[in-house]
Amino acid sequence: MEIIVPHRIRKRELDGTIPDEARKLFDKLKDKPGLAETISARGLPASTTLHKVYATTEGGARRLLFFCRHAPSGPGAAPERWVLLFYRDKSDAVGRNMTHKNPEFVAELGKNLQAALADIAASTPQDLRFDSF
Amino acid sequence: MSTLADREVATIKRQIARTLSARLKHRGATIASIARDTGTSRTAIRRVLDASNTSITLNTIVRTAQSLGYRLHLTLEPSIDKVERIDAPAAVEPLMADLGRALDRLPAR
Repeated sequence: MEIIVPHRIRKRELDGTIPDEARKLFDKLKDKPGLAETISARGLPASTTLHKVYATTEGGARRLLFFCRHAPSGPGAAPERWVLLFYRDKSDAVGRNMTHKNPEFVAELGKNLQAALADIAASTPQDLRFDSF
Repeated sequence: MSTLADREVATIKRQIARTLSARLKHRGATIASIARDTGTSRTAIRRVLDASNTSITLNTIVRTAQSLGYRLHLTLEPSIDKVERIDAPAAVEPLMADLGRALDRLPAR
């Protein structure tokens, strides 16, 4: 599993830097047992899902949202990749209600997906426009 | 049913109680002597040493530990409490498909 933070998401959600708190949460997420078992796509484009992560940190409760690209099986398969889209406080207008019923969340989700897509699509092996964990 | 917090508190208290009880025995100290050292009651010291009793103040735990030659260190670690899949709004599904394809084009690292 690879966690990807596109540079534009880093700027929009984390003020341009990846704090230790976020790095520790990424490590814990990668170590979380049984995570893959929670995943089953329904009504979504093939092999992609959105996952909301509830986290507690010294600075307060956080709500993260990841776009997940699940690995196809077989030789030469790509790793499962989780792309960070949101890193919010629980009390934030988006963080407290990450559902399709929240128009603010839906609007911000579209913007952040476009931002992530722009960085990923423009990345080359010599110029990676994302951080990887 | 106990919550995660209840279980964490029970585990921490059990560890503190067992460590301090073993130290008390090793030193040949008594509950009364620790109570005198810390300026608290014997009942409070018994609560510290009771692995199942979580109704104790941090102040009493720290003083009891100091009296037995220990210092208490607390470390706060971020935690992942829950991960859940959410339904994608229909409006963003084309973007999700595009992002998935863009990720597939990245070389494996």
